[in-house]
Amino acid sequence: MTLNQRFSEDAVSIAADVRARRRSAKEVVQAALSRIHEMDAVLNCFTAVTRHIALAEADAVDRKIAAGQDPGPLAGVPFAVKNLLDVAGLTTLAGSKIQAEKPPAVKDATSIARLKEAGAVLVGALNMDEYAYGFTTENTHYGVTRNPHDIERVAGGSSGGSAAAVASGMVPLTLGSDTNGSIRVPSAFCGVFGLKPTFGRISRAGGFLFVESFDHIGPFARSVADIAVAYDTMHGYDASDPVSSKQPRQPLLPEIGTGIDGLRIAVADGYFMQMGSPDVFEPVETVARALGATKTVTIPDVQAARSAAYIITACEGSNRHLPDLRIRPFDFDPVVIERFLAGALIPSAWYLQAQRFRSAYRKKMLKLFESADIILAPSTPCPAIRIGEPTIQVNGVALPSRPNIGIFTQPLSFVGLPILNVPVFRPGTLPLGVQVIAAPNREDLVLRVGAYLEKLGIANAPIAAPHVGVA
Amino acid sequence: MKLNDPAVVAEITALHDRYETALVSNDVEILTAFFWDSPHALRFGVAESLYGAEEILAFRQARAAVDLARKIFKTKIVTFGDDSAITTIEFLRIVGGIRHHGRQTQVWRKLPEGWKIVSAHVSLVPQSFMDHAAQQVGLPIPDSLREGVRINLERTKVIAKPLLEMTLSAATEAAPVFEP
Repeated sequence: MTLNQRFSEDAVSIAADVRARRRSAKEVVQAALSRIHEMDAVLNCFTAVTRHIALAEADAVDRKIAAGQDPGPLAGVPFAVKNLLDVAGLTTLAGSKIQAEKPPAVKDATSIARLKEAGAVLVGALNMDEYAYGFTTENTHYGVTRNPHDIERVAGGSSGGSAAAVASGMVPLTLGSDTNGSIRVPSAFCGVFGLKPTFGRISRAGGFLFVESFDHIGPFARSVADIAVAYDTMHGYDASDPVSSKQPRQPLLPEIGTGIDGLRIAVADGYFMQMGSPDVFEPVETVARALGATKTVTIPDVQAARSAAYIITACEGSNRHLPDLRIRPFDFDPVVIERFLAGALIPSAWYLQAQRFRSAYRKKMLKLFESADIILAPSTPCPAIRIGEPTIQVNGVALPSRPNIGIFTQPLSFVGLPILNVPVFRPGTLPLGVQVIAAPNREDLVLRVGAYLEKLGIANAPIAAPHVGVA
Repeated sequence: MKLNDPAVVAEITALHDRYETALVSNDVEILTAFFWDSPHALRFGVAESLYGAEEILAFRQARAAVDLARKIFKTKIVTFGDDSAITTIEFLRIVGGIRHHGRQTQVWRKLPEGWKIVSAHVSLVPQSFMDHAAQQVGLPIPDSLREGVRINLERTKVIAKPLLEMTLSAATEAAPVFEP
């Protein structure tokens, strides 16, 4: 058995095997735990491995099956979560040293509870940028998470552990959060699928907030079917999340194979064709060709949207931490503290202008979707950067990397659109991602396009060949 | 007239040091004795304009003795002959956790009763937006992070520009999630 065969299982196949008693949940979970044990010393995805609880929960799934009960659609699927989601019995770190002093969470976040009800087995918590304020998962307290495709490079962030744990094959499914790109950036850098759903569609209850105006929870996986199953399991109204959407539930797994006939697909031009290194536009062209997308569309006011998202992020993010910023600034990660302090001083005129602009921009975006069902754009302005790289090249200008890796993702999450990062990977290169964007509540469309690209072999998320340096 | 006669400079330096010690320990008696006892004595403080020894004394007695400590730098002493001198300093003073950068000038004359400060002026360098906002928010910015925070605010200003240039209709409301 080659390494790839050993790891190439996805959540849907695992659940099918476990449900059909071809193997036990315990066997599957044990295998995941031993992969984590072998690989995580190098990659540093996990901040906690819940070995004993995981094995006990796997046993419970096996007992259910033995008793003839339905173990759920994710029976025996090992999964892990960004450490800003509450896991009963674990302290929710949110990547920080300060939160490590807090008592353990008493109950699971809603998203985790729903996956567990469907039979999935939680195996641990994953590394992130401190308080989710970053795009690289270079965390001073808990170390850098390395990119499984090239361990000298970052995994992206802020959900870096979530992307790298899937890309390396340690687990088939993880959860992360996306405020300005924190699911799409690491899934692009690590070459996996990552779904940022419509704002409010997956409950954030039990998640440590970063920016309440934009925070989303979403899944990472190596197949569109796995993304669909996870989404189907988690989405839907939750009274304990004040922004939870009352939109009726709409399971997507039955729809993802229905193809792209009749979909009007356009490529975002202007800003989205300029603000990056030349190599990031290639996968967008490849995907557009495969989808027969010949039209382009101009997303209006992108620069202002990015500005507004940046301002709201700085203000809301900093305000949440004001008490700690006042008395213990040196307990924050040195790579985020200056941004937090600066964010606490932004004038209210800027913040309110940003919030009002968001309403105006939302209207313009909805108008755009009257003539297109899907918009394509690159996910990041560059492939995964080297660890510690201070700047990235954007349109011929060197810009600080941390605040700028999200320039393509930030203007879109700003108005809560559903977006799938579709990984495009050619062996010998670094993975890149394409954002497949639709109107609010049209997760069905982005997953249909993703599944179609996957079927053609254009979108692919193979297990990273472990630890090979890529030039 | 001899400029900066070492003996005179040494004398003024010692007096200047004693004044500083008395100031930060709020020793009103010593401070009062340092000033010229005359209606022509003058002291412009940061917020107060005091004409004559009586107004200066009244101010000293009413002053709240909190956060008086200050760090002096760039002390400069120039003496003219053996009876006149000007001392200037810059200082940093933390008041209520907020950092202030100030300057002080004193004019000294040797009178029959000895060296006296005949005129003094203290001012604060106008605060940057960062310091002012930090003061309003009650958020001390540690010295080692000041430059980084300043750069971040500058960068944020550049990023905010396209947003601030947008014209929004007066009817455009923010969309907060709030359901009473």
